Amino acid sequence: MNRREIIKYTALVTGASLSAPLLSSLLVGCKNEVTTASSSTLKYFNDKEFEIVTTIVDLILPNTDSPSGSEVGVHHMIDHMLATVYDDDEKNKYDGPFQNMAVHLATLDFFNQNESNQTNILSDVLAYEESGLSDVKKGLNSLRQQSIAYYLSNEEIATKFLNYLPVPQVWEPCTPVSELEGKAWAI
Amino acid sequence: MRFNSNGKDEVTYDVIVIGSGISGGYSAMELCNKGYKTLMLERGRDMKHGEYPTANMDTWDFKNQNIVSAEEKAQHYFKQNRLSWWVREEHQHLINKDSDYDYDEVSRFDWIRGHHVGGRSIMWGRRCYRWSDIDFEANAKEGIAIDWPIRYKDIAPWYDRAETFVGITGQAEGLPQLPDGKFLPPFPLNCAEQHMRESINKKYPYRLLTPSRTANLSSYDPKVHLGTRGQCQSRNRCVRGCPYGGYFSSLSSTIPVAQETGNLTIRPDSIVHEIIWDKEKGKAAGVRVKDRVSGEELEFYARVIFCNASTIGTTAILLNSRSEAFPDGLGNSSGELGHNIMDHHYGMGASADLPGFEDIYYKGRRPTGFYIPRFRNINKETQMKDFLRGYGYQGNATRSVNAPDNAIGVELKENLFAPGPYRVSMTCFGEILPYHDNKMWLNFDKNDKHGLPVITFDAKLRENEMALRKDGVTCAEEMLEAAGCKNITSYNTATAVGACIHEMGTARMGHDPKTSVLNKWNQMHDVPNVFVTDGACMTSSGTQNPSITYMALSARAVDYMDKQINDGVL
Repeated sequence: MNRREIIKYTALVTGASLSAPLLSSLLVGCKNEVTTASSSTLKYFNDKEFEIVTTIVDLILPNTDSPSGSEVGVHHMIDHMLATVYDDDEKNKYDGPFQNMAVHLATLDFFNQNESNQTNILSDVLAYEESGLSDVKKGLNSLRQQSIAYYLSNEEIATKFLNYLPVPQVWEPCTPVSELEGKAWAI
Repeated sequence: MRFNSNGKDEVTYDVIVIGSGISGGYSAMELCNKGYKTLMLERGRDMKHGEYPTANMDTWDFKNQNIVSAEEKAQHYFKQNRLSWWVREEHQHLINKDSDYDYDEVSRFDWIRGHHVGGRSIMWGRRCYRWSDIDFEANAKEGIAIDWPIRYKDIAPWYDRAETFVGITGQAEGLPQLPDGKFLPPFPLNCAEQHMRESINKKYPYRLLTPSRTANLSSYDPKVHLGTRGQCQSRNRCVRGCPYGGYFSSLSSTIPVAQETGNLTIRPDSIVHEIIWDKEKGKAAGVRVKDRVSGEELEFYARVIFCNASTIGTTAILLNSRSEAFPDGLGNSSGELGHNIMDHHYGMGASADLPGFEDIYYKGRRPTGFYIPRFRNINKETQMKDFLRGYGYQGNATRSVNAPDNAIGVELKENLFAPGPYRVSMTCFGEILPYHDNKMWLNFDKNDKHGLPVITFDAKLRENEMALRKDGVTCAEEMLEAAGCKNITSYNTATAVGACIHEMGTARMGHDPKTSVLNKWNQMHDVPNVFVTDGACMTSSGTQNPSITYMALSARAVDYMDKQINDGVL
């Protein structure tokens, strides 16, 4: 089996049936160096879950010529928003897919891979078409959407990497993108 | 001098205006300008122009990305928050807490309020569209409810007057169903919207996409736009209150003008319990008020009362004003008070990607979008078998986040800071017919914390509305297709009555005192010195955003009252 097939196979046999304690044991081998936060600063995730969030946030938004997701606190914002803004129903809808995604990634030995392999694995997951894997994909998609939203609404990113104009004064309906340095509006 | 104090605690004014929102503010300004000593009563807290604490905050300045915490929503906004887009950090301080002032419902009713000086005129959507005779004649032609006692010619000069003062952007289009007005320059369509306009024009006669008509000062004239106003800065943060005075509200516009006359007294924290009936004189004598903070009970007297407490608030006050002469509420000999609740319904529409125009962007945050006026049942060619009346669309085309499908890592980062594809969104707003069975009443067995009977709602969408919704969705899809859009997604989830925040109709105007509460001058048939010029007066709902009509009717009613007083009738 090639890598893609292995991923699919493993996912199908594990699926959503693994319990949280088993998840923890599967994650013991996690070797990646990630930004950790002490439990006291976390509002929603436990330490282990937060390591997963941090790892994935920085794979979705790595450091390039602009900061990585975790460098501007996207991972903490995800933790904060889940704890503060999501109601019980929304939390439940988030939790299941998140746990399934985490278990699935663990069974793929994701946490022991180098960054390039990890990125490939996540790309594969996002491309899943099997209905049996929809929850795994949903978990990752939610993290991706959160990462993008909170990254773009971060002050440093919005004011330094996007066009930030708090008081535009005028509405110009048609302006060449080239005059705006090819950048999107921050707000 | 018309003002006098009788030496007791009670104070007498020429006119009492109950409410400080868009119609209360407008009535008060017109009254003060004519020299009447006017008392404006507002049940909520005091608030002044410029006191807009969130006006300059960016997303990152809010605690929770501009979303109110789940705990607060559950505790204080359990009804308001059912309207999913409403409860936000940016204007949380302007939103009523259900925990402070709850209501009951037989079927879900979204009653969105703003209890502070200025009322909902601070948070309103600002779209201003005239009604036409297609609207004013509809009830009579179709045999629905009762006929409007006015026609377009009766209100047209008052639209002119209100629009000039308010300052409405817009583009003249010559449509019979949406008369042109006194427009400031429009906020022009962007290139994607212009393309939509041309594509729709080509394929569909009677359908037209036009820049919205909105109460933002695209061009500020200090001689005309009186008050504490200024040029709109294209920040699109109007809902928080505008420190520049770039849009029309009671706080920025009518109240400062009224105050300048020296004739206005504003008393916030004044919950009107009832209008006092003077059986000797056979008219209203004044109002009974409870101070929201101190609990003190007070009475104020006046020659004339303008009830502008918002559709529901006005109706509740009138229903609670019971006397021997009016056991079912002041001026309710018809039994129609509280009935015929209308609103507009939405939650249906479509959105899609519009390929192309990658090199063209826009600059500034336009405080509005486009409008597609009603095109159904406006003449013989557009007559529909399945439903009466029609609907309009509000929408815009904006560039979305540039995150290609499934992209992550370096690929995502390389794209993320660039503008994404144009996305067109259009939401359909439909007319609700006046049904006698759509109603509100007071539960006299259950009082709120201020000692007022609790309001109960029982109103729903019916067959005509449901048929209209289907057509609205289909036509949205058709128009997006005609413009070459891709990834079209449509939706049709019926909103509760009230959700459009255009509630109206519970003290309707009409020719006949047996079937209506108000005459053609917004004057109570039964109690000539009480006028109602908020949404309660409406005899049908149209599809247009109604505030400018309330303002025009307010100015007209004040003018009539003034003539009646000068003639010695009132």
